[in-house]
Amino acid sequence: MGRPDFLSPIFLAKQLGTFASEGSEITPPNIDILNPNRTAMMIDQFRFSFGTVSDGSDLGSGFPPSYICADIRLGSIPLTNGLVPIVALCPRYLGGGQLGLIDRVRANNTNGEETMLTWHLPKPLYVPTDVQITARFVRRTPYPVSGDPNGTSPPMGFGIAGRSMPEGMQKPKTIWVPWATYTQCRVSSASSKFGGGGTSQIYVSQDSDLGNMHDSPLNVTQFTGWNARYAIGGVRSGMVRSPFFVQMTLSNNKMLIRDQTPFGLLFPSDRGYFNLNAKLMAKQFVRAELEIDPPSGADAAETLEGTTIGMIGYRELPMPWSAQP
Amino acid sequence: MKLITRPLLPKPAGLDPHPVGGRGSWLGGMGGAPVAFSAQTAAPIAIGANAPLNVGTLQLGFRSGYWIDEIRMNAWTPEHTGLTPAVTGLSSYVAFQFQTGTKQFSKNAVPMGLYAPVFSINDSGAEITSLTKFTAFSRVRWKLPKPLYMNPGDAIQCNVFANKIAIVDTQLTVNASVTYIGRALAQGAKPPISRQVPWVGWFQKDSDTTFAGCTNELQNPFTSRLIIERFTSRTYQNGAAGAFSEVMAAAQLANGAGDAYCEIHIDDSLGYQIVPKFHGVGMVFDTSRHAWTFSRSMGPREQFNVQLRNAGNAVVNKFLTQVGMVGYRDEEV
Repeated sequence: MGRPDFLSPIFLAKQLGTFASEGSEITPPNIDILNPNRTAMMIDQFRFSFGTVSDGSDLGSGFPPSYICADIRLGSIPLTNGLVPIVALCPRYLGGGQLGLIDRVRANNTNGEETMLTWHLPKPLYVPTDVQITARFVRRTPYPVSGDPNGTSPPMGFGIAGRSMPEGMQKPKTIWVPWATYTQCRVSSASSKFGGGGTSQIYVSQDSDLGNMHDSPLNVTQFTGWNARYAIGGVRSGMVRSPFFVQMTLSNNKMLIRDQTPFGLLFPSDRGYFNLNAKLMAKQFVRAELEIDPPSGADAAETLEGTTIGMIGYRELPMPWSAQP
Repeated sequence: MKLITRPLLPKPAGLDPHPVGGRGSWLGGMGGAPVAFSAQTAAPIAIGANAPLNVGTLQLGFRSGYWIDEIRMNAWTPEHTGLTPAVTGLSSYVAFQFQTGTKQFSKNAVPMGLYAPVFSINDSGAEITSLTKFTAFSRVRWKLPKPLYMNPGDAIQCNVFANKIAIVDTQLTVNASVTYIGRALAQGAKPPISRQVPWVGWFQKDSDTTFAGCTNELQNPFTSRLIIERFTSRTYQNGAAGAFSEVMAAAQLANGAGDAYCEIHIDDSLGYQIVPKFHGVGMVFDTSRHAWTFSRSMGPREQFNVQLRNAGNAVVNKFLTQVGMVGYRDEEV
């Protein structure tokens, strides 16, 4: 019987190389993310690293985590709503040393630098000995600039940080399964709601984007927000100044974000998230509405395209493999 | 005539509205007056030298037990002229050693950057005071793993070292200060029977050696169990212009070819694989925190085995990687 206070840290990782082209897929070999201690483990974090990025664009669309998507599963249980952009999983945390912040990635347009993002799971994820984490990553078309401004995508790495359980430790009766879903503005429609000098746009998320598609309640713990403008010197002045607003409503018409709130204030550039503790019942969803009315002048080209909002939570499920030995 | 007095509110058990040292706390036996004391070096410390801080200013001025919750360390250079304003990696070579009585917090002085995760992007920085002068500074806020109880009259002694870093040509002398933040024991509250004393172990490698493995630096040297709450790590790079600055992700995750400059492998004396394969230190220690937090109980003489190596041919600049483990053990008061 193992010592109940003994949980040995474990870190598993794999350098995945580069994506050949848009639409190409990389899957880490299972053997590289298998716990070599042959015991169950608790996963606390997923980490995603990116090698040198060179972005020739003025926009932040060349930021790889915005267009490289992850599909992560525990056995047959999905942790993500299909392919989810990595920026939707990982907020930023102040204190990025030299490069932990997204802002720093594009400090130099021509000589990009490495970066890493971490998805801190809302609750530790129990992984039995006979079940494995699987992941696949797909490089999609960057937004708002079509075509990859990097030319080639950077080498990517994937890591799992957790704790190995001692042998003989009892299996839990229920497990906390994280859930991540997102909405990303890809095509926005022009709107004349505002009278600014630039092109006004509006975007409303699909009902299936930020929803609880499961039959059990979802505990929502965090919303993440990313916009291409974050990549330029922290936050471009237009992010806060210009009317770039977010509203959120629940599917039962209750207001989550009642007033039109500036995106840059709801998702500050040094964090890119806000936390909450709410329960989304089965089949309920959140509808996000983004609006922008850029003023004329330097910020006239502001666009919603590429803006990503992620919703992070967890479900409590009966231990699905308890019948197995 | 009958003197009418305002009735006193009933006093909850264990609660004193005016505990020693200040205004009242309504936290009962847990709360006491907040206390803070600090000391700083009298003169800049030369490289290779050390300076004990004045312990007289690092203890409570009145007879009461107290708790220490947090230790703040600061280091800064004297104002310099004629040098390129650059970050100087102070947190790598300014090392603090703490102990209270015979209870040490570490076997030797620990570089200040290894005590705690990064909490501010300004942890290691340079401040330009004019076009020709600059002051470099570094600061660390170490929230102790558990509040540390101190008996009346006891103090945490602090000694500051300015270690020599082999791969750096020019190091600047430094000033240092330390501040303890805590609470006085509320009047009437009983002191604890045991307390949790921090313990920090550390290990480092510079790029002049291609491979290094620790021996017993990350061992539990006690005969009782040690709870480790996190690994910390910092990496510093000696840039082309001679600037010795802190980096983490750059060169420590992977370069364009997918190689990290410095890679790490960790297992333990029980045979548990912790980082089973060599990976860039930036990948293992979250680049935004420079730390990896968990909770692990170590039995007596158990240890972590850390191996660091230069990876591939990607070493273009000299660098220094430091790894620490931070935890605590139970000691009788």
